[in-house]
Amino acid sequence: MGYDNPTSISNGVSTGFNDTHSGGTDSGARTVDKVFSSEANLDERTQGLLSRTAAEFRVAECKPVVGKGLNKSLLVRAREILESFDANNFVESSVDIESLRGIVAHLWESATNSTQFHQQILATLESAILTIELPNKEQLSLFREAVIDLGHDLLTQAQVDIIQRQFISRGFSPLALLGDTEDSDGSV
Amino acid sequence: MGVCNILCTSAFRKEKIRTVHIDTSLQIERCKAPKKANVVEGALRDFGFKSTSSFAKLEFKGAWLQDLAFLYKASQSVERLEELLSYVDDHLGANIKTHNRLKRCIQSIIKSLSTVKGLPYEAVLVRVRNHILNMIDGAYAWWESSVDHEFNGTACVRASEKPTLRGSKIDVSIPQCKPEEIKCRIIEFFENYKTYFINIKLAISGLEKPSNQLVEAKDIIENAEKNPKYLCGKGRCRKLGDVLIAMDGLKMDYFAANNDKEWILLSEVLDKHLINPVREAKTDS
Repeated sequence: MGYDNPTSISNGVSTGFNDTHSGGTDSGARTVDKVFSSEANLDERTQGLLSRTAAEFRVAECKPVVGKGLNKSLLVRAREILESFDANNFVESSVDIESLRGIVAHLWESATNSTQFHQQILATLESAILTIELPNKEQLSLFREAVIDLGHDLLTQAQVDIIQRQFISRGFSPLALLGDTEDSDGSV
Repeated sequence: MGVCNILCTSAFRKEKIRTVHIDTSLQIERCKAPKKANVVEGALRDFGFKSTSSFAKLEFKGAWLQDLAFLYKASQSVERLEELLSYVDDHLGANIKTHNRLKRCIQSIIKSLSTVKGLPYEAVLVRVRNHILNMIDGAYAWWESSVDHEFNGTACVRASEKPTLRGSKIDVSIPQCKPEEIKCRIIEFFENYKTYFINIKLAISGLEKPSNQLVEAKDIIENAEKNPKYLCGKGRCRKLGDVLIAMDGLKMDYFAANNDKEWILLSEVLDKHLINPVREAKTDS
């Protein structure tokens, strides 16, 4: 399917949005692949898909996907920094945020072998860290939560959605990296 | 309770809660980095109720999300980040406006991510690709959280269609509707508010140098007066964009927009106050 990593590809996982085609577990996706492989079985495949209820599709989105995890030592370092973050000390907290930016960026090296879900949470976290000067308490706790999620080998689409919505509700725009584009004069 | 009822409640009338209706141009500014977004947020802070239009969301989808989807596709077609810019050059060289817009878009993302050097090229590309994906994926959720209400007078089906990932392909398309297969309420909307549409048309006719967008809107209103079905098909409704967005906010006190060429006229005709925080910030500085 052309995802960024082989794990997601073989798993045939839902990667977010209104993923109408994928959304199976590892074994489920293999079964679907088998059916796909034979044109003679198209009817069987169609019947199989049609027999799945909407509820089954939703459940599939909540099933975890296993992937090679992100660099654990970098995640531990990120967690330590976030746990000791002192917003009252401007110099120290600025240094901490800068360190976090470096750690998160280097997590992408291991992210190339992780799942799409890990990559999406990592992108959400990085976008927020890059666009904020100093986080408030709520935002800080959200960063911690994202780092903890990234440490799990198993993630689900539901976790990605929750994290993404929490970041939005704490004032982070998913489009914030477009900050240097010119003012829109409305000629959209 | 419907939004119209909420706006008429005693709390809104007694406490004089100010309401504002926001155009696409300012919604786009609001979703950018804090430095840009805060200019607008500051100006909107005093408003107790913020709205936008589903048609503004359609414009947002048609502009930003389709651009980003193109860049996402491009990022899947190249092996290194440097090739991404060449991809845009090669595929959009002839279309200067789109080319420049997309180039600014990708340059902005690259600049934002350039704080760390020395990552392997595979990681760099996966990083950029996922940031683009995240932007498209989170855009509708952000939009919904950015206002208290989204007016949907036209019941635009295309605006309601969220970006969808099918396999590795993102569907951010906006298919043209057919007059023989009308899925929205644009005709009823036009008929219900015909007087306002005609007033807008007359005001445009009175302008010495109306913008191209206003001229197009005037022509469409003229034709729709004779045959409302004219609004459907060939993307005509989208050419009426700002007019429909403004009409959706008829119950609001203020309009907020960053394209004065159209919104000064619309605000005057519909008897609204207009704020343009971006222009005001530029004037101040």
